[in-house]
Amino acid sequence: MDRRTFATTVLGSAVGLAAAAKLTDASAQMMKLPPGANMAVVKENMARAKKYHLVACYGINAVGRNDCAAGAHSCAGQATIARDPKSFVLLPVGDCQKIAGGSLKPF
Amino acid sequence: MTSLLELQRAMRATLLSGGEKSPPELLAGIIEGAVPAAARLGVYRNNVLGNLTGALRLTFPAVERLVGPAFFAAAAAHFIAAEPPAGADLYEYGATFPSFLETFAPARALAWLPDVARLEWAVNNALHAPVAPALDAAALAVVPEARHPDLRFVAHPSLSLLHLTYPARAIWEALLTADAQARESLLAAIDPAMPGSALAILHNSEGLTLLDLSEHAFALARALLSGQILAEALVDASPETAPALLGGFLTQGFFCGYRSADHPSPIASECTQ
Repeated sequence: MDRRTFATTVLGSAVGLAAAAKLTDASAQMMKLPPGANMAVVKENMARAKKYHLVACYGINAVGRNDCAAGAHSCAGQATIARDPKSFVLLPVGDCQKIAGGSLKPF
Repeated sequence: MTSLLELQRAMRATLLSGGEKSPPELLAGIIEGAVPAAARLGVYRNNVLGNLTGALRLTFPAVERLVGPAFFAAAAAHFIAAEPPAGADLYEYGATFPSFLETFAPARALAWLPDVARLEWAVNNALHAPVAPALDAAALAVVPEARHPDLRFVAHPSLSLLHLTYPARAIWEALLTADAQARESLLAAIDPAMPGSALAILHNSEGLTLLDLSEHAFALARALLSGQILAEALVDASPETAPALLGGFLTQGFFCGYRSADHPSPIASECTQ
């Protein structure tokens, strides 16, 4: 089969599959779950992540991101002295330490 | 007497420097009152830094959780000084933050950090991309079969394809888990040495969608969106999997249109903004 015929065949079948919403096949081919992943857990995580992200970021930053900081939180905005975060020794202290095998030393 | 351009340049340099020192010619132009000129400039400077740091924080919440607020603020300050925004819309600010983190020495111990940032940028892009309807498979019916091999698919504006070295999706999902206890156990289960993944991130009819792609699917999606015509994009595709994959891409809304320009009468279904 030459390239052009192959392309025509593939597109024809793809459109057929999509139109018939034979998604199980298509999705099974496309989705590759991490080894040992439980589909229900993945779905639940996804729903939670979406909800969190939308609530924590999208909803608030939609109105707030391009605003002036002084309007949103006047104390920080009106400080006249620079905090100069460049001068202290940097050490990540967040959740990175909770990752198993998450080394804080250079790899 | 300084020109307006010189004044603007001096102001910009002072605001982005993050330091305490301001050039005397700039201070000379500021009317002193109850608050000295240098302090007045300080208000501006801290507002700029606070604003831009806040914008980055909103785009990269998982990165902030990984490194903590103080480290994030410091990294952001370095980034802002090195790569200030090119435009006024802060939704578009931060595209280069992931690659900045890669070169940021204090973060080098966290090899997976740039991958998490890349994922967050793709999520930000998916959430803020122009709203465009996805290409409906049925719409392709108007294209004569003889022209199928010459079609070029146009990516949906919300779509990003990422090939990540580290298990950034697992880290991202764990970090954004609201319940602290669940978050800790999810994080503890992550081994950074786990294989990374190929991901498609987009905003479709289901809302924000992340799909784990097989290597096959990723290669095909990338080829289809590289600007090649369909016949060329399918050169390395297998006859067994290609139809189902392309069908899957269509149903998931990877494309917003197609072009077929190599013929006397061009066929196009452009993406609407």
